[in-house]
Amino acid sequence: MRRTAAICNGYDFDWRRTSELVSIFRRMRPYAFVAGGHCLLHALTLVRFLAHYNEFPRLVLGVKVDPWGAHSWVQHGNYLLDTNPEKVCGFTVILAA
Amino acid sequence: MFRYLAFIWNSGDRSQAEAAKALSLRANSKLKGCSVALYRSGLYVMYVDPDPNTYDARVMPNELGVVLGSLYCRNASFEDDSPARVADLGCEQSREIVRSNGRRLISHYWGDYVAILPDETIPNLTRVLKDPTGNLPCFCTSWLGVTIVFSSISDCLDLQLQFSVNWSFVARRIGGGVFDTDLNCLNEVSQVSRGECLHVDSNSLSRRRMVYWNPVDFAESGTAIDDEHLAAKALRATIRSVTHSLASRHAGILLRLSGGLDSSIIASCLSKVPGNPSITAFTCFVPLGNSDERRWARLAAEQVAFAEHIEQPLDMKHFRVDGILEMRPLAAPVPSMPYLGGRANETRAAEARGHTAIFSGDGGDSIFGGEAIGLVIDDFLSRKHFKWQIFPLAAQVALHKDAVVWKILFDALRRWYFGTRIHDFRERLMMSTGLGAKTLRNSVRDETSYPHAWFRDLDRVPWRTIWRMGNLLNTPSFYDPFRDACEMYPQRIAPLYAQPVVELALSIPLYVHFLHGCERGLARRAFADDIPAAICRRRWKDRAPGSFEDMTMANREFIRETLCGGNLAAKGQINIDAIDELLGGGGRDKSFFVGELYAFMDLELWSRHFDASRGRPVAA
Repeated sequence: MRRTAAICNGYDFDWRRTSELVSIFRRMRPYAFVAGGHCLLHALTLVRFLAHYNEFPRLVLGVKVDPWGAHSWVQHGNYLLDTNPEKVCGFTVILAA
Repeated sequence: MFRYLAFIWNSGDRSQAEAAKALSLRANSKLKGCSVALYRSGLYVMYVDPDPNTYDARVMPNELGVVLGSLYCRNASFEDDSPARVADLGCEQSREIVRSNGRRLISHYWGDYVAILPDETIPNLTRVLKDPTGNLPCFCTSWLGVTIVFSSISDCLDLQLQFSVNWSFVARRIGGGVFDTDLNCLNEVSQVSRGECLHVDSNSLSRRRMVYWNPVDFAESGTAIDDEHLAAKALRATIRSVTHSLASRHAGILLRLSGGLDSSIIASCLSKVPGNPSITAFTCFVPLGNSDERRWARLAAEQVAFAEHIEQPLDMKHFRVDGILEMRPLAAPVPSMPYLGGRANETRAAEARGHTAIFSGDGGDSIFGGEAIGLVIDDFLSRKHFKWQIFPLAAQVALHKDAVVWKILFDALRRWYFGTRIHDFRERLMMSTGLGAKTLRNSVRDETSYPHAWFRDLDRVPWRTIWRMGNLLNTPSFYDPFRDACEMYPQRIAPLYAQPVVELALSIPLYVHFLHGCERGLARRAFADDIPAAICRRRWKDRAPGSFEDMTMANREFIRETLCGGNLAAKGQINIDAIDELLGGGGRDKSFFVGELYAFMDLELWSRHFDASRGRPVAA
């Protein structure tokens, strides 16, 4: 909802500001929870944290077979937030919300 | 390739003297192109050296001893980046080495060598010293009282000596990952480990081992290089000096360039080598993989402007592993898969261009502290005790290890207070032992110390050092398992494993290596001006996930037949049901450690070379 409203109001993704916010998030995260094995919690927390500062990247869900697996992460365009290509490249995106 | 063979005996014992004479006669007739380096009472040293530019036999004046391999003088300072001089052992230097019982070789020189030094005062005592980080192997066996020191077991087989597999070693490797380094692979052969000196007393037929070089002395020294500016400067200078020293001995070099940090560092160091050798960059890639390292490799190659950059596809899905049957006998099993795959391509490319060396950035992950990040807090506590700076540092470690800060702090404080034990990280070492027999897996659970010459006498387990040693903990693998040791082929060189680099890196605390919370952060900073910024910033690897699993599944019938119908299965050392389920078709959805399967294959095929002589006494 907030994202849609922001886009309607001419929201433009600010990667510099988002990068700074993600750095802050990364500094705080280890005091609170572990991302490994809790990818959905991690992604949702990051999305909400950034939304608090009016930045609205996408929550992405991906799956893979062989062996089967599912993962979620936060991304905007080519920018991966608080993750890296190695961790997500094996997954096929099924949803970007 | 360079090989050596030495016979040590008691010259006063007639039967030993006759045995030594028989061995030396046989060796002279069997070993083509061999030369005698040293022949004195009770000692006969011979070697085969197809390329004297790199490895050689340095005979000390007055037959004081011999140094086999390569030997360089140390630079006076860690900040000196000039190439090290090739050592010339004159009278004075040789006397000092002998007077120090060989210790001076370790403190004043570096290289890849084995020294054989008869004692000048005690009759029939000979010291055999293996350098601290080199790859030239040093094995030892005996026949009729004569001690035989050798680098390649093919020479001993040519002498018609027979060997048998130590099945306890095989069981330990299967059941405990790497908890086998204190066991002999063959019943009749022992290894002189890196930094170890073997005292051979031909009179009493006894052998005593002494550790001359121990990484713990550097990693836990009170005089660490704590200043990050100084550490970065010294690291850059030392790596450049070592790389230039090693590269200047070759007219043509092939560099394995993945585009990662370590290979890019070596690429930058190869840019201005004295003698200007011809350099070819070589990058293997998996076609149609999910990720591709070529773009990073191109960046690194362009920065240095190599004359040629080869990009070699490696089709893992159609790669046949049955070439492993061609493996030659070795004194200890080595991981053969790399030699069959990417390394075979590298060797072919190097040989086609007449290059004599293949350089790589191997060792960077461990030497630059990347594999020991979990122990950064331990290092901080032991050097600086509990200070407030530990919290942001713990947060950086936690972020990297994907743990919460409190867990990282609690574990480090526990280890600091109660001491480090084998339990702290044993599971990490044993994580890839799921396909071995369950009884074997349980058999190593009671180990209390880390079984390596460097650590066996300690009352604790120095994990801070262990995780920084990488392949230096393993048996040196100097010879290609698929090539005849008599052949000349390009030599593999990893400058990051050179003694000056290892000693310096160990002297730098882990929290300095982990600069600004970045894996291999100090190395990134030291070479920030030499390598492309994008490579310096990159924190992930562009591996092609699943490619080795694809290769395994494409060859599953061969692997299953080899393992389930082999020695290991017959002895009940592997879990046939688990392997059968995994490779029989139904196991593709299971995750498994590919490395474990190939480690079993290596053990299986290695053991077949010696199985025929199992149970027989050693006889010539």
